[in-house]
Amino acid sequence: MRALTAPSLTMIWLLLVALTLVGFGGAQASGWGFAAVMLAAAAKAALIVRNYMELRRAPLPWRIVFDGLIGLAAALILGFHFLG
Amino acid sequence: MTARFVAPQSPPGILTLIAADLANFILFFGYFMVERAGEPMLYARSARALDVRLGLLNTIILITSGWLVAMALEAARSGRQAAARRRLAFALGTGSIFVVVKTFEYSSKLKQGLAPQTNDFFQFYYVLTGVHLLHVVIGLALLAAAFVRLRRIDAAGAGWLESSALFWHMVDVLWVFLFAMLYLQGAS
Repeated sequence: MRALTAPSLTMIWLLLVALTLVGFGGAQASGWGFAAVMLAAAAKAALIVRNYMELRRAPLPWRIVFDGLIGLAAALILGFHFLG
Repeated sequence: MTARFVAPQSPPGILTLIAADLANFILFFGYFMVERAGEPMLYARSARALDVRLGLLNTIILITSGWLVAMALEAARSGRQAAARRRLAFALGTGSIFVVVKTFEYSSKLKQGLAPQTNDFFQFYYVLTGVHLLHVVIGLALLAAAFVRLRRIDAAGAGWLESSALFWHMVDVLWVFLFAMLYLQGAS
């Protein structure tokens, strides 16, 4: 798999900004509203890890580790949010 | 002859360090959330005292800086050394603004009497964002070292740029979670 070109990197940046604004729109939300905020954050983290850190080109074990860490962070925060 | 950038494929050493650092932060996210579950209203009320616009500004700043670093690596790989250095310089400039905004935010909170000893939320806020800020400063130093080494395009320079870029993107990922967890989380 080839490295991303400049226009693709810029497209990822635009997506990251859009997701940031979506998350900001949900400021102070709780319950499912906060779940949407956290989903947007996890999507941003996945976009950065896969495209900017180029994990999409890395061997499968590395992709599992990094996707797993992002999933774990989001699940942990959301799980305890709903418990609180 | 144009010098070609011989970039190693995702060096495992730096990836191991980054995964361990992420895991370490995730433990602290868990600790924060467990404590928060006991007093969600206090935490949500305290979070409202933070300036969410400054948090948003710093998020956009880090995302933009990360994009510029990725663009610098892209230029370096295709042998466009001047463009790589220019993009890296902009990334360093943008990243430095994060430190300025965070310093301003700390001082304005302290002036309002919101200090680490105010309550548990603010203790977490200062510790978590403080450790993150330390990562930002280390990341900026690594990027500055890569900028100096970009004068020569060789395998060593490529390794420096790639490794410091990876570290910088991790700093970005950590902030994405910190912003959502600390600034945007309410309670019902």
